[in-house]
Amino acid sequence: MDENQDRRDFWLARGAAVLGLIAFLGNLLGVVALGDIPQAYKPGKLEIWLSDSLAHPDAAIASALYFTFGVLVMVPFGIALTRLVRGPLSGLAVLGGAFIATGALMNGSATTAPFVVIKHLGGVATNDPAFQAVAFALLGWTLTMDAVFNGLLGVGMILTGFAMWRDPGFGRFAGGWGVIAGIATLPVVLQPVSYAAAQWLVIAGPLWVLWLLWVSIRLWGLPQRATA
Amino acid sequence: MGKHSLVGPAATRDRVTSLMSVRSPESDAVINSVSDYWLARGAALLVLSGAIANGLGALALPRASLAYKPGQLDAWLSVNLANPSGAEWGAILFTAGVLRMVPIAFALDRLIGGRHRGLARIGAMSMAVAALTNGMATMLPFVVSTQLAPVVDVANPLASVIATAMLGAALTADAVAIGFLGIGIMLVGVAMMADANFGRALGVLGLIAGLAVMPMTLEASYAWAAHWLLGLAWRLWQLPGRPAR
Repeated sequence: MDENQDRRDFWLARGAAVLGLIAFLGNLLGVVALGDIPQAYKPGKLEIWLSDSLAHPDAAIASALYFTFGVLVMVPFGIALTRLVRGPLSGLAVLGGAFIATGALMNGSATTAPFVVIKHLGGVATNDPAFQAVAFALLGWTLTMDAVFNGLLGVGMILTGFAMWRDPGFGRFAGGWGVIAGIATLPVVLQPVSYAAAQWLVIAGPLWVLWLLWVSIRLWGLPQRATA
Repeated sequence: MGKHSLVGPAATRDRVTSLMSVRSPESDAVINSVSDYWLARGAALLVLSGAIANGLGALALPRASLAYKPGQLDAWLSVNLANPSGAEWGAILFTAGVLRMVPIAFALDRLIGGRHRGLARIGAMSMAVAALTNGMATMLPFVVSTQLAPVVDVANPLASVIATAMLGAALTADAVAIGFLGIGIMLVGVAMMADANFGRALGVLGLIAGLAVMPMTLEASYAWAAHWLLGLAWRLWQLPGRPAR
């Protein structure tokens, strides 16, 4: 392995660690901001989600922005994992990182929709049927793409977790945790049609968000492996 | 992929474990050969399952002749609302099939060697762009059926316009994606022609499939693409047993 390659991987690992931290904070703050909008991202509750968002526009806007940034930085984060996980199962990390990046991009395209509803359509009379139909379509799309994200993220974490298991740079703890968090995240794919699946995020969400944080910590320390 | 053959994990497990602590070009080559084994096998399964998902998606669509056709959005919407479960399953299966093209593209980028591997990278990224563009929209018919229809009267002209716009967005994204997919398959095909592990025949089939997919006017274009995908899955699965290049 040449020195230039090591230097590139040093910055890639450190950059990915920072991105992972931003993803952790973005998703955490996004959830916290939804405190006054408890029926957000729940199937069959679009009307309550909309009315609560209109009643708490700042919270809805902040949450949408936090989620969008928190999710979209997972695109380069996932791509970095395709390169940084080494070892005999690193081929699975190529597939897993690509799954994570794909899910993040899917979700990031839709998490802005609540922002659009409040910020750009908010001037329209909110009892106007046109406003309501557009708002429901956008919120329904957000909910659906969040489910797609969770499905892809779950598969991605499982594959990446297996690869990390065999890479001492990440360790068995990060690997095992990734597999468990991935399995726990998969049921959320039923979120658009199942209220129970949406509520399951209370369990799955912290698992994958904290996994992101732990992997970021390991990524920050990864260059020390290269120079060891 | 480096200049090494892909070897199965069982025969080399002990050696890999011992090499993990040693950093040298030789140790990296052995470890990469094992990791590419899993990459090739995983990608083969993704290609096969993706082709099956897309095929099932087409079967699930209620009156498939109306779906994803310009000038027939009203009829497509009516059929979807009359048979929501078919429309929903169609959307789910298409999305599941399309989005796995992204990790497949990452795998092709890494696994195709030869003197035209640069084209493989551009081609694979074009395929990924196609999948991402399409995957953002293939769920829109699902959103219409499961999210919009229960809370607004879609028979209402206003709501009908919005639902039709969503289907129009899905159709347009599909068309854009097909353009990128065709270009991607052609470039990957050219690169495969120069890589003995994939072979000239699969490369030429990729060129034909890419050209056939782009107009997307004939049923035959699906057949070419399906043949190429099946050939690709078979080659990827066989990759670990092929000799070093």
